[in-house]
Amino acid sequence: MTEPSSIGTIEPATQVTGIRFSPCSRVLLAPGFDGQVRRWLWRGEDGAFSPVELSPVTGHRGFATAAECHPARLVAFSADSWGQIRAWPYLATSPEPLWTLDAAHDGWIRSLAVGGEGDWVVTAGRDGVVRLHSSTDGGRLAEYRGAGVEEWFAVAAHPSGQWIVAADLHGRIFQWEVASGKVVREFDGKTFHLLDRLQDIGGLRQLAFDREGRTLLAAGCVPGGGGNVRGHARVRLFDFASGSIRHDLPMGEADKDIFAHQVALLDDGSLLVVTTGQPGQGKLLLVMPGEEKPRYETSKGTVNCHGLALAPDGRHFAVSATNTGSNGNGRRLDKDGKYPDNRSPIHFFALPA
Amino acid sequence: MTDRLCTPDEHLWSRRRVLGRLARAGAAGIGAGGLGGLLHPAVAEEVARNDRQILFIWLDGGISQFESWDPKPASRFGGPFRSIPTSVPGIHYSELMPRTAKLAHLLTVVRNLQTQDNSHSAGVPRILRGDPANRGVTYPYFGSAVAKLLGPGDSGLPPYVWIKPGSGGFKTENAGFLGPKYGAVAFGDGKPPENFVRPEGLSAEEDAARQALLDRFNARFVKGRPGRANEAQSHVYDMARKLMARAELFDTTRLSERDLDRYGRTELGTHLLVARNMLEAGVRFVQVTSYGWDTHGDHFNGSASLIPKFDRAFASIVEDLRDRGMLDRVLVVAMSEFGRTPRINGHHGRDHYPEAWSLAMAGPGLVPGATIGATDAEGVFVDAPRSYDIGSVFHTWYHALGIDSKKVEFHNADQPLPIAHHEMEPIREALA
Amino acid sequence: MLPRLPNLVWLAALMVAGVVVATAAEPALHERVDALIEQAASGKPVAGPAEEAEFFRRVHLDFAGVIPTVEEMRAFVADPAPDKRTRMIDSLLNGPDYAKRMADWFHVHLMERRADHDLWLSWLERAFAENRPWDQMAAQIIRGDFRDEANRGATFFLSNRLEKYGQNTTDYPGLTRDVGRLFLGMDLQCAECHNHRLIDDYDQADFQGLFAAFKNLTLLPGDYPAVEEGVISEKLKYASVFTQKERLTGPRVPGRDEIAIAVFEKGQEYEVTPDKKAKQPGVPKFSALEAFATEIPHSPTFSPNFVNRLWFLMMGRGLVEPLDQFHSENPASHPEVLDLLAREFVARGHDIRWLVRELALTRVYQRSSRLPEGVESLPEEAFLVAKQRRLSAEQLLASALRATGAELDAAAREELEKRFLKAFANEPKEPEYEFAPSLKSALFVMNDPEVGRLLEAGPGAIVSRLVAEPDAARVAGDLYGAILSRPPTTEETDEVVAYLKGQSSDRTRALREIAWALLASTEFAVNH
Repeated sequence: MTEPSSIGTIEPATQVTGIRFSPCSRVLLAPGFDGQVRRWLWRGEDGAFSPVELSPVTGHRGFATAAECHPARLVAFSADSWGQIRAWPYLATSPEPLWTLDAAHDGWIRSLAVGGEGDWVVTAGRDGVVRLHSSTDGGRLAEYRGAGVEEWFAVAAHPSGQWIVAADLHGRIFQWEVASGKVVREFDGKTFHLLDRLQDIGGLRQLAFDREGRTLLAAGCVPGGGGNVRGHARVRLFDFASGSIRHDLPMGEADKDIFAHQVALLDDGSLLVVTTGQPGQGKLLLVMPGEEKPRYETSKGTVNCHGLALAPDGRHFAVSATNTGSNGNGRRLDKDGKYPDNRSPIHFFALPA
Repeated sequence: MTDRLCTPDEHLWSRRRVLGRLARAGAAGIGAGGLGGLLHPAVAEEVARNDRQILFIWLDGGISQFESWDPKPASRFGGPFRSIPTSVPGIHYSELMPRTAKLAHLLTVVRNLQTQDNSHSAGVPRILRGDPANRGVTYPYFGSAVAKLLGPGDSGLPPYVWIKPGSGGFKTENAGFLGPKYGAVAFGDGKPPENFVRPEGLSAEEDAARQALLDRFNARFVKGRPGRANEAQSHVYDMARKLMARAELFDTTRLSERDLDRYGRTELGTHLLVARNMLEAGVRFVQVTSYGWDTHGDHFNGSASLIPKFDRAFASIVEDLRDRGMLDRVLVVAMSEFGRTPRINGHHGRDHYPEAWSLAMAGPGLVPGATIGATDAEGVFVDAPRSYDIGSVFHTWYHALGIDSKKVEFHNADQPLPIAHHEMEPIREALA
Repeated sequence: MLPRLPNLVWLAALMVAGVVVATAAEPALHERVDALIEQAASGKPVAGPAEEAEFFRRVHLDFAGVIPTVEEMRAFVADPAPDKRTRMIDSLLNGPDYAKRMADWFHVHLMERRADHDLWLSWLERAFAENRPWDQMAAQIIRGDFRDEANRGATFFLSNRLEKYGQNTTDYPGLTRDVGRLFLGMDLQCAECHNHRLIDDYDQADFQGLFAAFKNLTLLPGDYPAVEEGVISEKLKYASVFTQKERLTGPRVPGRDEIAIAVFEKGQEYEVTPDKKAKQPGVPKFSALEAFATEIPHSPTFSPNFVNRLWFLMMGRGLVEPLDQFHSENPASHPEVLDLLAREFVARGHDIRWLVRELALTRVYQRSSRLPEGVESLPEEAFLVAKQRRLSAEQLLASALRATGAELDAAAREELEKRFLKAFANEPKEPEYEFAPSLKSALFVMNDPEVGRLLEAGPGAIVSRLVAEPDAARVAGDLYGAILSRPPTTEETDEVVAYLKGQSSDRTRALREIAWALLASTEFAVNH
């Protein structure tokens, strides 16, 4: 078997923004548009797919935008679009917050990462600031800015704990030294931005490192036009040591696969990528850099995928997608005469052995 | 039969009424030649004194009401943004409009629009024409209608100027049955249409000398001949000369740094600055179009970029009009062809939504600071007791401009036509 | 249901009886027309005949599409022969430019700037060149038979109107309306859904009878204009939106009997069976268009409409105005003239060149555009003074090139033509009936660099040429002759002489100024 195999689907009652596994791989966290972070124990003791939903984490407002787990302690950190961060025990039956920062940012926190072996949490916001918070009490440890930066879109922590990287609206990727707060260098992500008429289209959606920190991955869109954003999904791999671009990979088809939202590097060097695009488009791809065609891609059913989580067990991953028929102009009522909303079904896969 | 050339509505206008009107028009010496309407003489006199102007800001593609005038924070379809208090107690706008929020006491916001079309191709012209009952004719866009009803004033500038990205020129199709001369003079990318400026190599002196000769030749030709052709020809030449004499109005390189900083160095910012200068120079109707608002995909990041730029430019021009005392005569409108869906689609966009949306206005005849109507808690439906279609909005605008839209009519050849939907009423709560 | 009686008895009322069939002893048609017009003027002052040069310019523009050259003009003015005007008319009507000019004229008139097509233009030109009778031309346009290779171009009238604009559906009512307007002088727009409320003569059945045939057409894609006619097996059902009463009609031309629908068994309806795969359009055995092509010339307003439109083209105003409002409450200004022309036109077998010639020979056509001494105005519909008429973009371009003597290569000419069309042609579907200058056209003449360049384009161009001419009076003669196609008056000559003297330091510039002002003048812009 060379292809991922589908092992089951969870249907959350809302649209979710991103998904993450706990370090033990047994819990899946899904921050949602309704300001809740949903939790599932998705397999039983026997390892079979038998999801049990735990009570959601409430208290976020606007969109819950990100959730990440501490590598050792049973704590998760989540952020929202109104500027709040909270820390909570992700296995607790009713997860009371350990701490909350109500105004960690002014408004939308777009990205959150845990670094320094769990010592700190780093967040990047639309307010143009990157902040480092103590994971124990939320105390502010440091603040990072980039010259001329208006909005941040993504942040990642280097596995060594020495550096953080963040990407802005204009596709500039900054690297800071955590200790000194100094900008060490910039990576080239300019093609992830386009000014079209009034609109600055910020194409970068995610920054991530491989386990050893040798590769920096940037996922997003090379924009072709604004409004109903057009463009082509792209994943760029930087050699972290030299800063040079090792691979620059278009994903799927231009104007169909528009954003690469999330990416994960597998041990064999291949990539899992999820994309979104026009109605009914967007998919999951398994790509080996250098090969002409993806090794695997989903077709109908798994469309407009925003979230991708690789389980730390190295054998499973999950993808959050969108229900069919999510688009439509005007007031279309469902069969009960109600105005419908959309959902993000979460598909679980097993990786080939 | 859906594509009728004319519909029963027309017959609200009785035959006797039409014939009587024609007879009067004839008696008053107004010929029946040429398309485009006639105003009742008494009304015509009234509007001759009318100094009202219009700034019409068109956000093409559809600005989201959720991310602007009618936020529903922390609700099912509310999206990621917060709302902020405005200068009107109890009224909130989206956090993406901080500067406009401080001017809410000058604005009149309608939150209970419910219109007919959810496609651009039908929606744009329908909204811009006020969606009157189908009478088998193509109605003029609002700008052409105002150009017809209020005329150019004494500015010597064309009555309907359209500042837009892309190509400029003479957009006669906007005029519908009024005929090409009521079309828009479009300033593409803020620049005047082709041939607006003297060509290189032609000095002002040479131009003046040849124009003087031209006037002399024409006067000689017309002596002893019927004068209509020459009158028409001379009229357009005069208009062209007056326009050329105001070249500074169209020169975007002359905009002040300070103003550009305030309005934002964006397409819309620059164009609204040019619009301000044109309004100051007395242009009757200035339309400013911004394209790229059709955020079906990546809507929230799109709005986060688009709306603050609109906010900055819009707030700046409202402040400027206020500071210059011009809100007493300039009706300001900011709107799109529809709003956007509550439902957030699979590529994080909002689709077209004519069912419950908003627009903003300011200026003479309106209740400043008023918020008209409301939508439900999730922004899906308009709250009872009423919603307004674009026909009501046209009535409201005409009233604000001092035009009695229940009395004044267009005339297309022998057909009298109401200037706004005959079955609709103005938004009374919005009118002072 | 009883067959409807033709509702066009009104036409009899419209045309005044009393004109008897022409006999050999009778005066020529143009003289009878003049007699009727002048009789109706009942003593009002009448403008005298156009001056020699004015007449010469007028016929050149009308029948060759361009102003004359200065040499031609001078030769004509100097010619002492008393019959030179008639000879000039004959020479132009049989000249090399007549067919092209008529084709241009009718193209703009029938297509109203929607689009053009080489096959259509060449079809028109050929028809006018061989003086094809109007009933035949109209029949070929209405028939729209793509299999008739020689007359394929004629189909463009239909095929272009079947094209979709944007997201609109095919405008069948619009096509129906245009046939009524342009071929029958009847704008049936408001009779689509009910009898016309303002015009008693226009019955809903008139619209629906035409619509029954035209709604049955489909545009065929391809290199040449083509439409496919569908099978009609039953009458069209329609109802007035007022009475809701249902009525039926087969295809019918207004004023004529309904055409009997020949019904064939299923599978037998086609002469050529349509085959989508082979891209073979179908040809039904019963063709309503074929019947229409035979019927339409017999519609009561068919010939009056044509003579009215030709009268409009040559006099600047129709006898019936608006042109598409033939009905009893809108009588012609001179019903006898319309009637006479229409009858004679029919009697002559719809001979277009003959009719053009007769109209050109009238005093009405040959009047001066100057009002009689001491008269301030005359009613336009009395035709007592020549009307200043709009020049088409094509006439303006050809005339500007001739006036300036600019030497342009084919590419430059083509580019200039585009600019002239943009500046002077109306928007699509907007009839070019009136002289209606626009701000755009004024700015074009004032500021377009290409217009300025015409004056000095090549050594033969007017300014380049006249710089070397030392005699200022001759300069004046050449400028006025070349651009306005007439000799200057003494006053005008003196003015030019003085102007050149006053600006002797820059003679080129002075010449440019005068030449431009003449080119931009109202006198140049109209056919007066």
